[in-house]
Amino acid sequence: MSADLTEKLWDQNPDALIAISPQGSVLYWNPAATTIFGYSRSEAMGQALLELVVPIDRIDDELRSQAEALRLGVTVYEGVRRRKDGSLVHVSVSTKAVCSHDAKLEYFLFNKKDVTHLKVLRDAKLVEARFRDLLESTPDAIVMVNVTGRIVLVNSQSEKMFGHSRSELLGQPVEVLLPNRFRNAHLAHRGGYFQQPRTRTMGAGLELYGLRKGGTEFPVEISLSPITTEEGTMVMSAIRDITDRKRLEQTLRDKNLELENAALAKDRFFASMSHELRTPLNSIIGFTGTLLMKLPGPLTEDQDKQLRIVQTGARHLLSLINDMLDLARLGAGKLDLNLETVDCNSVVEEVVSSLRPAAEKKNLHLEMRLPEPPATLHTDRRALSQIIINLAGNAIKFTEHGSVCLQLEQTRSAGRKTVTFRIEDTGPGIALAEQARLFEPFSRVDAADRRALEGTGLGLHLSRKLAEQLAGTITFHSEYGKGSTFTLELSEE
Amino acid sequence: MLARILIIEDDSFSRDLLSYLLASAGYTVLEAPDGSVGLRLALEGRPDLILCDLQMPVVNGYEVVRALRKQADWRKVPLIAVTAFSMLGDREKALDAGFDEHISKPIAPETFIAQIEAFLPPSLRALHRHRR
Repeated sequence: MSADLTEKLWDQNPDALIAISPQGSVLYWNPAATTIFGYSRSEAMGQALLELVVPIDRIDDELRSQAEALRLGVTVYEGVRRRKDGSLVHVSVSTKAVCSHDAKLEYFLFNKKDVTHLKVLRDAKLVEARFRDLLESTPDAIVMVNVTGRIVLVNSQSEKMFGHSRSELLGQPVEVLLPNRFRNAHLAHRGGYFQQPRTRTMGAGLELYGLRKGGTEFPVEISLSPITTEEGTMVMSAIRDITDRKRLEQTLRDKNLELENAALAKDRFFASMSHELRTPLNSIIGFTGTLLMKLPGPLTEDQDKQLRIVQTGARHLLSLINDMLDLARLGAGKLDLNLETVDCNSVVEEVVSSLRPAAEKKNLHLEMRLPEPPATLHTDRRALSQIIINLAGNAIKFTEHGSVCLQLEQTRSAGRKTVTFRIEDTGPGIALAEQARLFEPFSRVDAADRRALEGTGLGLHLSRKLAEQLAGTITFHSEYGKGSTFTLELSEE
Repeated sequence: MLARILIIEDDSFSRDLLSYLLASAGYTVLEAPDGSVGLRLALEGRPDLILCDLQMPVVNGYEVVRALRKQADWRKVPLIAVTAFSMLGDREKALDAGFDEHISKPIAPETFIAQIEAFLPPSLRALHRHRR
């Protein structure tokens, strides 16, 4: 046979023929090698074969087989090799160490047959027998992939989900089920997975998509488990179409945004309403005040009396506006609490000093009993102060003789600190029939009582709501004709 | 001489009220119906104290205080916000913007003069000028 013909036969050989130097660089690379591995002859020549086609985790195997060939002359084995595009092929390799007559290694000669498809068929047969029935019974689409990333098993849920038939998928790289833009990254990750296989969720935190036969995409969630078999490690992917969940999540997000916007609009509405109501009241209360101060000139007794009625009415309106806005914001969960360490003694002291003029006007004893050292709480000072003012203000308003006493106590039990504010009066007390409705809005006790009409009718209602915000309770004890005691209890760990 | 006081306020009733209270106490009053006129009057009239609404057309109270505080000779002139914004946080917002005080509407006419005089040197006060 002529050298030409020999060369031609080598070129026509259906298997890859590759020769490498003792140092490992490619000396010969036939066209079938290009077909199988993707590198052209000129790309491959002179390159280190190990770096070109051997996956990192297979390098030891390859070196062992070369050493064996050196010892025995020829070895045969099957293994995974990497193509130029990163995909894996399964090859059956015969290696021969070609030595000179003085037993010096001249080159290694490899015959590499691409058995990827045979391997798929073998693996498919194995896993079909072992897992098929089991996998048909799960609700998820299951795709099993062998060590070269080829699909070896799909259940019928997968066929439905992806629109491909079983025979179309068998032997295909699993990347056919992914949109194009994910394929390269997936190839790289797949190699990593086989090096450290463990059960886990794929692409945790990433948005993953599947690709249907028709080209449409759908969001998926995938969990991976390695399956060890006598044909090597395979990977089982359980795939779930999460289109519905995504849609639900989006709806929830939209809804949340809508609610946030509504809450914001409500906030703005409260702020504008407060502003708009106060502006005209400024003129009413202001000019009533200047008239009563007699700045423009003297007033007759009737004028003075009537102007005081206007003033009282306007101030009442202002309190109503303030209470209603507070209630509205409470209802909308928009009362921002400013939690800080509050000296409760000083809160009571402030309330007492602001209410003292009113008590003195009625000749009432206004007392306070405070603990030493002062009671402290982690709470909202303004809300706390407002509750105490409301309770103590009521006590003064309804009591004609005797005293109003504010008592503060701090106790500890089982690691909980409890601070109790007790407001005790010697007023008329509350009739049993009225007690049940006491905290309802506008439930004035005995509406015929002029004193009751001085208030907004929201004070106790608001106080209880505020107490709830502070995780506290307001209770009362009253005996008709003997006075009432209101108790605010706040506690903390 | 009593202080010259500039009122910047778009609600004419509120402006009349402040103006009347101040004039009754003996102060010289300058009035502006919005922030831009207010800024002009501040520069021309050299008031000793400015009362300023917050929500106004054209130039609002925050813009007035920022514009004035930028200039060295306006850093020490007392600027008081008189506003119907009196919800939680509004006071802090006004003080942060550069106002010396925040008085919420409705004002209390009986104590209003004393409130603002706290920001005037005794020689320019109407009520307490002879005390101390």
